[in-house]
Amino acid sequence: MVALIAYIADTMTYVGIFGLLTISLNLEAGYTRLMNFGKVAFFAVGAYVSALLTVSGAPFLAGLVGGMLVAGLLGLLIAIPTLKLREDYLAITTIAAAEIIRLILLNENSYGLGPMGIRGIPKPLSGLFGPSGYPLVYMALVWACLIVWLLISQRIISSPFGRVLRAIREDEVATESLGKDVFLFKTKSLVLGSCMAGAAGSLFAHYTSFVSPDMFMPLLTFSVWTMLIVGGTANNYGAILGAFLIQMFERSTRILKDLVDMPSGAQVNLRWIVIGLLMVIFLMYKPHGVLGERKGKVTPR
Amino acid sequence: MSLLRVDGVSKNFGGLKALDRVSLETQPSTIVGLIGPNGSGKTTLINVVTGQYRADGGTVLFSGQEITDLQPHEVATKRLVRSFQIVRVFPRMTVLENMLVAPRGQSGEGLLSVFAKWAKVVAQERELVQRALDLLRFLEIDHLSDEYAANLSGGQQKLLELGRSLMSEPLMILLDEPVAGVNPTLARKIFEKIVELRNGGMTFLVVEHNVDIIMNFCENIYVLSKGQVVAKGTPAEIQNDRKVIDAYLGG
Amino acid sequence: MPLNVLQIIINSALTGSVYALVSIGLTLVYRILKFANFSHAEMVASGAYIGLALNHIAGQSLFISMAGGFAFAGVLGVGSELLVFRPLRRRGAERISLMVASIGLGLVIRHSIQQVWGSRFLWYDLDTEVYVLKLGGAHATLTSIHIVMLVSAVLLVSLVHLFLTRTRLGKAMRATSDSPVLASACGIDVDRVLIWVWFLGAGLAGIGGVLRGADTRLVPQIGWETLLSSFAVVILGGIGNFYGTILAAYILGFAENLGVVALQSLSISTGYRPAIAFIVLIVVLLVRPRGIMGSERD
Repeated sequence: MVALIAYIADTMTYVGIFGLLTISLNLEAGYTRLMNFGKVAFFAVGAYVSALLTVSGAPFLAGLVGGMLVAGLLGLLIAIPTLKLREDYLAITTIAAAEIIRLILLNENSYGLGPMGIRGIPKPLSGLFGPSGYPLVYMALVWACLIVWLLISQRIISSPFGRVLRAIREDEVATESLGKDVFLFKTKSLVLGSCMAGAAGSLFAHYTSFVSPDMFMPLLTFSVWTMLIVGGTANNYGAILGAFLIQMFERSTRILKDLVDMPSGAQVNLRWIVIGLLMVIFLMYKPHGVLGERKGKVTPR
Repeated sequence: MSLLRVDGVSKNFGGLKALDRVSLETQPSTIVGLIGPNGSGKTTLINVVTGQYRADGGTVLFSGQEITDLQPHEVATKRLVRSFQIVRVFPRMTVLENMLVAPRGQSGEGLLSVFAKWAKVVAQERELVQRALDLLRFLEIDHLSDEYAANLSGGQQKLLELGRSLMSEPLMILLDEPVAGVNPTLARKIFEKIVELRNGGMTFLVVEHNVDIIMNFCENIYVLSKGQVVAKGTPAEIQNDRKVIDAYLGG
Repeated sequence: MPLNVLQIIINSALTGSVYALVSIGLTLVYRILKFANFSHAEMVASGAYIGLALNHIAGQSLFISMAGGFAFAGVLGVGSELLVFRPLRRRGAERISLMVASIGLGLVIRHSIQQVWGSRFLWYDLDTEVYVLKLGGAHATLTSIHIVMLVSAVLLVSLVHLFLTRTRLGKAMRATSDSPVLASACGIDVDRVLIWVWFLGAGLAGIGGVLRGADTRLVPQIGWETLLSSFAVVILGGIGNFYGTILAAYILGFAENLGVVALQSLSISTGYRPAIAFIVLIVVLLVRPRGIMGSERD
């Protein structure tokens, strides 16, 4: 029974972390139409900064906030040269930028960077709870963060600021002609999304207690995109649902491996093949995902 | 004092002279027409004035201020807005939301205010919604306020675009073929609204192909051909001008 | 450390040759269908792996591998158009949807390859001779595979040039690349021409994969490894411009090899080599997005 609870807590922890990632992508891509294909870089930066800070003795909260801030800063840095580019160029450059970040994490050998990664990242509050209770506590922590960011994101979407983001998504030229500084709005969207991804990264690092560059491959960005496409673009609940569905799917392929005799590694390949298929199939038949966008409500009416 | 003053503006694309030292003036509270055969540079002129294109020569003054090198969003903050030849509404937003994007100085567009001054944002929204509904009523499309803009007919979308421009409380609107593809009755109705607005102090520059409309509603007309102003004057003067007839037939 | 200019030139030509072959298809599809096709990387990979299979079965000839890689990748490319991209376009999908779908398709292909061949390094089994080239005072080494690469690139690029300028289908391709709408209005069956563009483009990428795999090693990411550089080449050369792409391929090849030497002399890890293409990409997009030979209206 304890093992089952631990398993569920583990699953829901990952759902929470990836849910936060997917909401962050939703703000950028679902609402502002920013083709951010470098999402994993912000996740990685949040994870690494948080890890480095806490391994050096800082409290967890400092790591979390530090991870968010540095990830946001990276978002600003990337935004400046790229956000005036056409959407497909933005996609290419964000993939490239994310790969550069990963190369830095891999090739530098100071400050804990390098292929060996960082070990022994402290788990917050671990002293207070026993091993049977801790997984639930951490899950609650992750979900608390997710809910806070969800509320923030929902407030943003329903505000005039969010309305301008959606207008940018619909027609940049028209939005510009109404006097809105489109570049500034896009930048704010990307920086916010990056902060969220950084927070997710920090939560991830403190859960696994270990980070290394090969945990942050472009594949992770693609899986988050699939979560968004499947769950529902421009719908935060859809985003979380998508994270849940994909996480369930990944878990089930792992269980499948135990039930059916498969050569090792096959379930990994199968997983990505299905994720790729899901991407294509949903784009083809259900481009708004399972939930789709809800009709805008103006506050108040 | 003229509201909009275009002085010797030129624009080249590669070797092509799209605009050749074009000069144009509009007085406040008037409706000025801009006509000419296809390809004469009418939309290009609007694009240069509003900052979509950078002028290769000449200046543009609005309200006494130089706006020649400003970005499109900066031009709009000077209270000069435009509509588009192919209408650009926000398809997956409702009519009301379309209207609400436009007003300037919305505190809710600042991220800090969204969290620190939410009550003020809500109050401002309430006002803007009221203003938007009033405008929609004036344009007779208020019954569509909750409809996705994509579901509107072409004519209704043009009305929406006009309403959206008005929401930003401009001094002047550049209309690029506001009634193209719209049935004649609706076209007249739209222009009657424009006249009403003009009487209230608004200034318009209208690019149109519909000669009937132009002659009936514009006080002053400029005729463009091959990037140059070939004639200007009142409708009566234009009608009898040989150069205009040549421009349309010869071009 | 004295610069071995001759070796750098040869290495640049080799890198550039692979990029040239890979980028032709990418640039044509980008121009005609107006989307960045991320699954193009897997045309490179599938060519490389089919070439490997043929190499292990049919023996030593690299040409058999190249032919097989060309054919298989070509068919795969056509398949991707007919099964994924054309249906999406018929449903009114926008260009960014095609791009995202190409990422999904790429995942499917790459992991299918990984499932069949595994993720460990694999090598072509070829008798390779090593030659030393002496020119003036300089000397450089190159292998027989390298010679095949250089000769193949020159031959294939020339063939494609002749094809584009002398044959009806080739001219139709150029017309379509210039303006699909206009080409269609002139009576060209754009859908049919497209199939040939996919076949040829993907096939050439397949050959690029074979050559790269034979020269280095095979790993399922072999296509993805060249993809970002290929995009840099495509944008540098001007999207859809065949001659621009070839020129850009060799320019980037030179930039990368010179860059590696620079990294080494500055004691910076050569793992940063991909960053060179990235920098070229960003600079081009910021300074002159139409590339060397793109036209202003793009």
